[in-house]
Amino acid sequence: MSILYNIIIQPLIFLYDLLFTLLSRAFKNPVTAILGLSLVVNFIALPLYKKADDLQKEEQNKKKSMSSWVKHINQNFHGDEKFMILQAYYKIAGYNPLNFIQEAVPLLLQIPLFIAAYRFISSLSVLDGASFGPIANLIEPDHLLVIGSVNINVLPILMTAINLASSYVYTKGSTIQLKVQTVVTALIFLVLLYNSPSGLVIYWTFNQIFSFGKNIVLKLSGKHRKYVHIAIAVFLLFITENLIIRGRVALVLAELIIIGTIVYIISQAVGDKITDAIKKHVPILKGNEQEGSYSTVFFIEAGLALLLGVFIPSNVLSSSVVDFMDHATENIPYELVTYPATVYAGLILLWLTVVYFSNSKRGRKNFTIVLMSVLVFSLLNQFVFSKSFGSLYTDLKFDGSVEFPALLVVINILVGLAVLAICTLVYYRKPKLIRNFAAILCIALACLCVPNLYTIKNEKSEYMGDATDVVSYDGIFRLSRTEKNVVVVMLDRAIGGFVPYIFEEKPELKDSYEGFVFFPNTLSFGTHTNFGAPGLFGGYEYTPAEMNKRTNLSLAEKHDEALKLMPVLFLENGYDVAICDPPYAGYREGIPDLNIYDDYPDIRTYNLEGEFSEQFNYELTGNDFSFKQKRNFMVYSLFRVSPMFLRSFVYDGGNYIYNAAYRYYTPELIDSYSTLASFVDLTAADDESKGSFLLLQNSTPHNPTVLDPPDYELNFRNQENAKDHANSLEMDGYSLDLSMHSQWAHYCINAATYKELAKWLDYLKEEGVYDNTRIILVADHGYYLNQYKGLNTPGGPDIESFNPLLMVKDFNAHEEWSIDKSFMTNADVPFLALEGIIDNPVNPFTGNLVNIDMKKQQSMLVTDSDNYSVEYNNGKQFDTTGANWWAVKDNIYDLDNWKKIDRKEVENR
Amino acid sequence: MKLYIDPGTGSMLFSVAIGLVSVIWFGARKLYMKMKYRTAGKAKTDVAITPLVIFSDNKRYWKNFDPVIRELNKRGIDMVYLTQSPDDPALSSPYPHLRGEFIGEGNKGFARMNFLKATIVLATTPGLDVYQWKRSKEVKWYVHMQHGANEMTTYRMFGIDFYDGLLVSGQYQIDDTRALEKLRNEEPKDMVLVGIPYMDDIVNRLKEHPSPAHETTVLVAPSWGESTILRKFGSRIIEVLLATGYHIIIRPHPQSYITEMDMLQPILDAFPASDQLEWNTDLDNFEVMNRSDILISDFSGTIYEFSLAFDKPVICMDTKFDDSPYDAWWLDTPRWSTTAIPRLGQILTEENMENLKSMIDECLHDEKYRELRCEVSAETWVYPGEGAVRVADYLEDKYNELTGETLRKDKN
Repeated sequence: MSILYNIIIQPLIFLYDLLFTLLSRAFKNPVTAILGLSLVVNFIALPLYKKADDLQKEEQNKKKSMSSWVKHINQNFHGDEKFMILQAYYKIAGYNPLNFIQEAVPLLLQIPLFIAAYRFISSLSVLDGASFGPIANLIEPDHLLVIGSVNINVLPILMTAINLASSYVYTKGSTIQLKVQTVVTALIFLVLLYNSPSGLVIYWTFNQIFSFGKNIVLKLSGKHRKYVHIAIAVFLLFITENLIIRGRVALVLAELIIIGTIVYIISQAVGDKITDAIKKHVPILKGNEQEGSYSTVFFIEAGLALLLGVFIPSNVLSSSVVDFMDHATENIPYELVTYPATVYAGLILLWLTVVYFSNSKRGRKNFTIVLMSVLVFSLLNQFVFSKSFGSLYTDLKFDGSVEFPALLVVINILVGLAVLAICTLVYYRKPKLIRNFAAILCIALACLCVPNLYTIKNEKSEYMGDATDVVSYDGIFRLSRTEKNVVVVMLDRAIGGFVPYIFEEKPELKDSYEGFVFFPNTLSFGTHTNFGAPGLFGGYEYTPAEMNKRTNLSLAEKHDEALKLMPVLFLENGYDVAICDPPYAGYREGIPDLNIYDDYPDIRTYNLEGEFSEQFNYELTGNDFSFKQKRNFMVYSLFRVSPMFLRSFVYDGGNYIYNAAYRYYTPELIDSYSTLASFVDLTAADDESKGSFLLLQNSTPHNPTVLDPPDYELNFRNQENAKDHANSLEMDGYSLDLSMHSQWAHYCINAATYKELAKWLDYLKEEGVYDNTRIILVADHGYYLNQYKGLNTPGGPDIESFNPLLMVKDFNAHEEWSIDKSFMTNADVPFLALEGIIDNPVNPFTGNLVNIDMKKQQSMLVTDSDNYSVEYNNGKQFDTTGANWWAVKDNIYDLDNWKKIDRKEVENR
Repeated sequence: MKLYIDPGTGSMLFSVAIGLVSVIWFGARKLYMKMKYRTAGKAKTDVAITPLVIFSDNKRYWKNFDPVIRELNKRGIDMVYLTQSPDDPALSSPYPHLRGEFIGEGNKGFARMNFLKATIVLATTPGLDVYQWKRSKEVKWYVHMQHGANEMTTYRMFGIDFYDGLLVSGQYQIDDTRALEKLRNEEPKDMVLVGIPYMDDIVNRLKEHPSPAHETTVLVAPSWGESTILRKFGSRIIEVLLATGYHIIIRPHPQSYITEMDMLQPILDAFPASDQLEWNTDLDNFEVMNRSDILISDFSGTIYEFSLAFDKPVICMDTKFDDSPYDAWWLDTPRWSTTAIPRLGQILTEENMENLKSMIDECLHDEKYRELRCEVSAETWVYPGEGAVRVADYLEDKYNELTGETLRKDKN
């Protein structure tokens, strides 16, 4: 049964899922995506519908033409003779009641299309909590009309109204029986769907509208119908134009729609003339056109199914079976091959065959040619146009990025076109050659699969159980109940200016942040991590200006010094030290290089971001990991055979156009947020005599995302623009502008961050380690959001981008959460962390005292440089070409305190 | 599982449901019929293909086949005669080229026929492929030869639709059949005018046995079933006839002695045989027809034998013929018989029965009936005297056409 399901329904769900994912990414709105899905499903079903409708009409006409004689026979013959005479009459009339089964096939084939759509939409988690216009939650019935205490669902009624209108058109001129039938059907579905999720009803309603249009168009004459076709095409182009401005996914969709539509319009308008002309003038195409035979198509389909469903998945799995094994059970995940094999078998051998047979003879020929070209081009893409993107991990992500030189992409496209041309010529000249070639390819592919399958099958015996231990991070944030602990949490791009507004909106946070002092007047030394983070970790010796002065060392070395300063000092003073995700460690983008701490083996180091994503997704969406992996194995096959220009699109940063969970949140956000949400699990309190120093970095605020107030939860239900929010917030004479998308998205993610951290702080209290732990929450920089009116530096960026979070709770602090407007910088952090614990701390790398004297003595030199890449800006000094340096003092919110200064002056100070 | 359907699909799904039910019903019925008409045991199947098979479902058609067989035998053509009557004269026929075989009655015989291997099958049985007798896939050509002298549209519906060839005796038969073929969108059948071999036989017998001298004799030969003379007029008509003073021969249909004794017995009792009244039960009706001058009948094929072969007048009872179950129902044109019978003599009705004597006299003496008989004969009996030869020619030619070989053994 499950194999049948995989073969019949699952391929359709797979396609719907791909389509829905793309549409929802493009439109960021599930209802639009549902509309698109409805359109596509209906267009796919259209030829089948047409065929079924024609056959039914034929049958109805036949019956109608026979009815008077059938009646006569029924009246004048009796018993067995009546049956025999009827049978004879049917035979003479060319009617066989048993033919009906054959005629019902196109209609019955539509049912899986609709079942799949139903299953898919019903299980769409994104509908939960999503609203649409006046409908509060798409997973609930709409309850749009409330009369007294009675809720009335309007959508199902609307759907039925459209259905009835559509029935009226459909049954015009038909028998009364048919009219009654359609009305009864409409009413039955009103009852059935009345209490269904409104998202589902919206989908059916779109279907009804489509059907309404379809019935009108089918009633039109051929000439008028052509105009309708062209009008639809123009309309598609119109919405496509809208799509283009919506980003990359939308752009690719748009391109596909444009190409398809233009081809369609041309073929509608002058298609026959062109092909006739081509045939007339290109003699080679006049060759022996044979009727497309299914045997040819079968071999091509089998070849494609083998390539996509067996060869490529088995190739990946066999390359390292052990890595894919479930280490707990030591089971080989055969389903990583059997699943793509069955679903592709269904998709290609069943559904493509259906498409083939629902085509006209001419369409079948073109289908055969295109399919053969796809097979050959796929093989070329798999075996010739392949490139190493670095190691492939079990989640099918590569080390490297999926990119190709532009020239190769062009060559690839040209080769694709050449393949199409050659296949066309060969098909018209020697169709048998195509069939034989496809058969040979098929056999060859099958042979290629054998060693892969053999390897997979025999892996188990070779596998001696040397499973690497599953890493558990539980308890790595060790905190002592008896000794003093210090925790520094760097929250990348957490904007200081937001804090009072967020704490005002969510006053309950103040309880959780008991004892914390918030410093709004905090300055960062740059607007990016490479400029702002070193000071945060290493103090005033690591401001950009100071780092530039020490030209004997590279920026990387100085940066790493900063990252090591506090850990080393605490370690040397008897603390247990743990570090997580130190930013740009080793001056490497992406995953931090923890080897910089190799000289200090007692320092525990971890890269946590990303480690909790799967589990987080799993818990939030209920999608089990194995399903995602099976499904991604399928898309991986597509990725391998795609033309180069589509490959990065299909790879999708390793997400393979997946899925409900990632639908609205970037993987980076999930990686960071899931780590933040794991702080409670990671923390363990004990009574050891050693205090702890934790240096944590988390990038959640770096991933602006719209979330629903007042909870600001990542729950995969939030919809952009779904909830109204204030356009600005007022406080102390400052107005915070939230009208722009990015302003609101930043605000939301900051709020979510404080909310998530509050859970951790509460946990610390529960565990009895709150009072004896000094906690510093700090950011490396702010962000340009132009949210404070009149607080833009003249000729430079706005102050918000230099305004990082700084919030400190000292030992045994029990005061209410409070605000301190003292002038601070994030380079105060080492001093704040060490104060009272280590007297006169000395930078182990320079021998200088770690203090805040510089802030007291002079204005702070900050740069607004956007040269943030450590891959490029990695000499001995920061390259700030084209950027400004500013001297800032006292109150950063006073523009008079910002003075632009010459670069030379910076060097001389 | 809820399922979306729009009006079009919805109504189609309805039809699917209805269709499925009817398919199941139809299939079950078909299976039931197959079971019902299946013979016990396995039907005997032929090993070799017989070139020419003659199939007779009843011995009474021997008279139709006999002249044809005689001609074929004369030409040295071998044939197999498969009959469903165990006492069929063919089984003891003197023709050396004829091999007769009793294939069993009813379904047993049909089972044999349904798996027959033959090139040509000649039969007079209508309803091929409609009733239990199905076309065998191993037979190339089924040819029907009519067993009466009138229209074939009075066969039960679709009686000749599944034959490949028809041997007919009048252009109107061809016209009727072509009209039906057109109405039913059928391929035109192979139709050949051949005449009526058994009527030729009667004429030949008459030449050998001319009518003996006899007093004016009235032959009453009713058919059986509803609305027949005896059932409708009963003893009254016998009384009227006896009152004419003519010699009366009553020849009830043999079937009446089997199934209609309740009707017949009281009449037999009331009118025992006498010098004037004769009850005839001869198997062969030649002798009795030969010594009769006029025939009174209801609708029956006998009237054409009597009027056309014996060239004597007939009085036909006015029966309301319901042609609903017949091919005739399909056609707008009147049945040929309805135009022919009034020309062969007078029509007997309830009202004119008392004048039966004068009607008889008029028919016997008015010369116009002789002329009209000639007219009718020309319409429905082409090529008199050539029937058997033409049938044999057709079979030979068709065999040659189908196989490229000849039926005649002596030529090889």
